[in-house]
Amino acid sequence: MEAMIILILISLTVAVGFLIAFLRIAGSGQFEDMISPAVRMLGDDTPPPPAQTETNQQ
Amino acid sequence: MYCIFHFQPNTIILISMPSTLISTPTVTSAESLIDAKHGTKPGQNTGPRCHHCHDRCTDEVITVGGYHFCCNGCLAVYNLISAHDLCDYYDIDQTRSRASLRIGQVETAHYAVLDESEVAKGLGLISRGEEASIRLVCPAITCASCLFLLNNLSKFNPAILSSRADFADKAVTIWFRPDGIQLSEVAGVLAKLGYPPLLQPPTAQGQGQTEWTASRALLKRLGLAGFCASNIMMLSFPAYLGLDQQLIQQLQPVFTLLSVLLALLVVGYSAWPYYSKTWLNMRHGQLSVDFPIALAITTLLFRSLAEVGFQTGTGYFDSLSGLIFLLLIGQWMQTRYYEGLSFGHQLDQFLPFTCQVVSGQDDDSTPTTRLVSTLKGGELVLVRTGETLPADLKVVSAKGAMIDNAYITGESEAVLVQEGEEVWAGAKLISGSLVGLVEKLPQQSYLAQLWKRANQSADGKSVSTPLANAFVRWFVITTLGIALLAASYWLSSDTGLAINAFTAVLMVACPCALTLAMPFASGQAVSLLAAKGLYLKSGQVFERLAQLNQIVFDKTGTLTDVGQTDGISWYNQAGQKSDVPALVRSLISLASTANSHPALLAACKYLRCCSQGQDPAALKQLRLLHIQQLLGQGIVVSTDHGLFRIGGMEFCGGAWHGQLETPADGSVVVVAQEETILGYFLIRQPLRSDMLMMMKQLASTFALSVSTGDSAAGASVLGPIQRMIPSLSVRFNQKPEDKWIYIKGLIEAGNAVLMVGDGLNDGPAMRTATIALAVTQGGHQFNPAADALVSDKALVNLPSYLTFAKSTLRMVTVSFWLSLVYNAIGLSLAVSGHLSPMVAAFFMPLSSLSVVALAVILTRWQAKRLLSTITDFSTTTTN
Repeated sequence: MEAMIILILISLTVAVGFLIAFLRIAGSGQFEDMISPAVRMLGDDTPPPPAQTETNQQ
Repeated sequence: MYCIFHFQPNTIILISMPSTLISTPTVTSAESLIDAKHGTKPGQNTGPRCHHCHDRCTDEVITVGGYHFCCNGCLAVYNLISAHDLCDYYDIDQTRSRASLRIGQVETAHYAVLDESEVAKGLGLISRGEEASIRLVCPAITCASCLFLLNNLSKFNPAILSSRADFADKAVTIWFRPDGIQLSEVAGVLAKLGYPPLLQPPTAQGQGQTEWTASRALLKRLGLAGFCASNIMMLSFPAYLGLDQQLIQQLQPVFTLLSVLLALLVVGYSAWPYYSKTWLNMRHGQLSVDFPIALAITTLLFRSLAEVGFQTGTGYFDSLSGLIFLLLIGQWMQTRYYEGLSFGHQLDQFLPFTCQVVSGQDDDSTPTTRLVSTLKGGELVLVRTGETLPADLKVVSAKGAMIDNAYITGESEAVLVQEGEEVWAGAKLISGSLVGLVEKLPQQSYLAQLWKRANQSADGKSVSTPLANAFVRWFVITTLGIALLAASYWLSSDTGLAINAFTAVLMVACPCALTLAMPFASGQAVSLLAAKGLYLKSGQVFERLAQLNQIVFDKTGTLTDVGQTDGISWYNQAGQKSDVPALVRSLISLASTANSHPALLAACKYLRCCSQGQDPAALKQLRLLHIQQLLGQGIVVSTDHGLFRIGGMEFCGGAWHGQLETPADGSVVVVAQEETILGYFLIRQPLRSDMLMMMKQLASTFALSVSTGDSAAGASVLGPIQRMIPSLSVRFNQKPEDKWIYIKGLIEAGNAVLMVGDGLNDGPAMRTATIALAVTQGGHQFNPAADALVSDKALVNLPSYLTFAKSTLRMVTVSFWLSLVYNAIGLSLAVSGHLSPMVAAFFMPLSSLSVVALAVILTRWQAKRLLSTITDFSTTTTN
């Protein structure tokens, strides 16, 4: 049954990886602002491209 | 075998839970609800909605390109936005009213100080070669559209490289090229768009950061507890399910070892605050609700470790981690608040950010701009008209200086300052200028003392309520009593069983009604109430809301209706009631854009209503040259059509032929052109009829009182209320300190006091009250020292809100009885000494969850029963 134990350890290692990722994300404050990032993502695509070139030319 | 493959997905689900578990409340602002459809009579609100701010156009309607605008300010911002192809702004968040964006006049002049390098550094400017970045707090950020616009600031000026708005902190970080744009211009761009930045040192902004740190820590603890609980549960299943005995015997040691490690992790990290808080409270001689929790956790851990150590069983690690996970979810729910609003309140916001320091009191010495934080005692400070005093000063020279001490003393009449007098920080200079010697620094000023004292007395507020404390004491004594009885019963026959029974009682008895049901119910109630127009700072405020027995109204202004149009009328030169002439109309609307004198605003609102349907071309085109407010007297408006005076009779002067009567409940505003009096507005302040009803309703359950800074004459409008409610006590001429002492006295006498006020100049009293409810009126962008916010229109629903809170707390008591039943079942199993780990693992979470579910369902039912009559605020319709 060593296979079982190895599998458990592997799965736990993977899960711990996710846990560490979560702790880091939570620590960096990503869960505090659930609204701005979504809007920021939208904002990149929506402005019409001509407006950007116009600004660059100025 | 199957359980192994469940590890990973299960863990991921639990890890991501905190984000999905809490549904994000809808985003609105306090301001947006003010002009929402609720609370206004039908017919009064028929104008089209402004394309920019979504406010109803109550007065003038400017129509450009098929869009309607309520004022020139909105039109200007629209033009600015459309000129830069950012009209998506109007498409992102169509449902929200953005009344806070309505701006009369943009003042960018006072941002000039930002160009001084020291000031910019003090504000947190970071320069890196050709690039600089700054983070500015803009309280007007209320919706997704705001974020879109502020993320695209680079469109407005090529020297702005990029910008990034943060909703949670209501701040925008801007990267720009200092050689292309000055910081003052950056602030100006924000102000022009309707998002004037607050000038605060980063330390004041950072106060909010400590709250974030606490919530981050809680989130991490929650995540770790969820991770451990789910994995320990998986590791425990094989033993419970009685799979192949041989298999289990081989695997069990490994499973147990892993469980022990995970359990130690969860107790050591996730449950640590329960220990530290218990210890802290014990040192103060108090028993908090953390004590029984810490006791249960400790007992669970040590009994499980003992079982594993002596190989008598598998332990209760799954129950232990599950319990901690559930408790932390409850704690998380308690911190829920309405995200669209920020409630922080700092003294720094009332004091200026910069000041002018002079070397001598002569006129020729040039003042240097300095940060208030760098001010030293004995320095000379120059204060000009409109500025706020940065520190307690001893006046060295004064030129016609009049100061308004409203914030400090509540006295709104300005006083003339003489040389040698002492003036307080926070006072505003209304006219003239003065040079003062710094006596006390801002941190030691009289205002700061007042502030600190109020904070000290408010400390008790954040800790648990007396009700909870009484419950905890009762709970701990009972639990320990039962545990000892059970142990002593078994002690004579079986020592092992005695220990088992003793520990099992401590493990099973969990005050989950208090630690879980209440937070979930109040968290639920916070979002339900937000939809109905009452915004609470946290779930704890809701708990306190249910215990109130006394209501103190801070100002008469909330009860009277200044803007009521039938309370105001125009009398012409002959003293006869008539229509308002076009010249006066245009004068008033012109002056009100530049000055916010309450009488002017009332007159302006009146004019908007009665000028509807009239030809706007009939208005005279006046051009504003200069406007000056002399407090306590009136306003002088100089235009291209001559000099106008608006104010009292003596102030305006000139010959008067008509008859002038001043009724007891009204005031007179005279308008004069040069030396000729054009006529006067008679402004009455009738009591709002709905307020009268509200007071009557409240008087049946609560002790009511009014504590106001107004004079006895000003408060005479309260007559009808006093006649209706004889028990109403009215206190006049109350300074903030008097109010604070009054509230403190009430609290010390064992009352739970709700203070209803505007939240601006009564910080100390508001902080002392059990709950401070701030009534917001149009355009307030301030974050008052309040636990709760309500718009002046929704205030009439106060009885409903309070009834809801009280009945919800009763409902939570029902779920509290249910948890007692569970505790009784659990205890009867425990005292018999036969609490198997499997029973505990199912019983404990199941009982907690059903108690929580019951509390939430009952809360929702109460909301449906009691709040359904109130119009929904979150679903503001457009056009």
